[in-house]
Amino acid sequence: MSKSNQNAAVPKEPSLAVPPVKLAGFMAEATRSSLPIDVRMTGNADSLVLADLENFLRKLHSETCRSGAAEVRLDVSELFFMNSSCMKLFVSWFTQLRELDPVQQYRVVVQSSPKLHWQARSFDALRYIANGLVTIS
Amino acid sequence: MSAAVSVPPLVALTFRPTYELVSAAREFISSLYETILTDPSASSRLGLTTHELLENAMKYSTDGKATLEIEICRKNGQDLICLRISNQAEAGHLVRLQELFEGMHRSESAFTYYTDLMKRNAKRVGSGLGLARIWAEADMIMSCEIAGEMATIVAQTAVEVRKSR
Repeated sequence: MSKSNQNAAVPKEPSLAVPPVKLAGFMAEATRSSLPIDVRMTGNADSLVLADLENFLRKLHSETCRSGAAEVRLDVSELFFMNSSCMKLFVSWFTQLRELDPVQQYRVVVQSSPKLHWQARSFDALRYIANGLVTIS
Repeated sequence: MSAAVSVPPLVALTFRPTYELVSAAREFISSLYETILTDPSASSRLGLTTHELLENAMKYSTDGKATLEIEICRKNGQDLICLRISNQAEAGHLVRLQELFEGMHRSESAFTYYTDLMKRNAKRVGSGLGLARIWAEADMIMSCEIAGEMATIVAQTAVEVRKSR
């Protein structure tokens, strides 16, 4: 098989226009290597990263809607802390998700860490906002 | 009921909190909790409480200062940890703080209050979500004292203190 044919055989996923956040104590990035959109957040999400996180989540939501992805896999297993101001941004995201037309809605699967005790309680409350569209693994 | 046996504060911190200092204080105090408490989950709850209380004081302090005291006392054979944060605040904020605590006391449960607050007005600055989070997520008993321009928020919970060698 020629190189050009090999390239043609690989299904191309639409690229994501979600710039990563790379700060000293916090990182967030979205990639789409397969059908779901993979999002990874690490570090501490506090007021120092609020504006960057707000921009990131707004673009993530609009790009997920645009691309037609059915699922976002959110890996927070190395997100050590999140303050209530950053939680409000997740509330806004999940509220927007809940208010979408049902055919446009996508699922969010949160991969948390049992070692980070705050995560179970925080994401349990956030899950409540999204009426079953968010699950925690 | 036996009286609480109190000791001098474990930590007493008077400073001008900034966002950077709040995060640094949370990390320092969280490592302190991990050293003295047996349950890592309790350390996590108290770290969250410390951060939210400090950030709250930073937002509303009229002179930029806040005082945080953490003490461990023993009551009815049980160890209690008590966080107390004080700051000067504007009259309008003191009224909102009182209303917030009245709402908490009227609510059927901490989780219901917290998630209702999220749904109603989480986007609003000063929604009280940080204090509701301490109550619902960190399982703290919360109270508020207002004296003149000073607001003091108290959060306490039962803990198990590691036996010293």
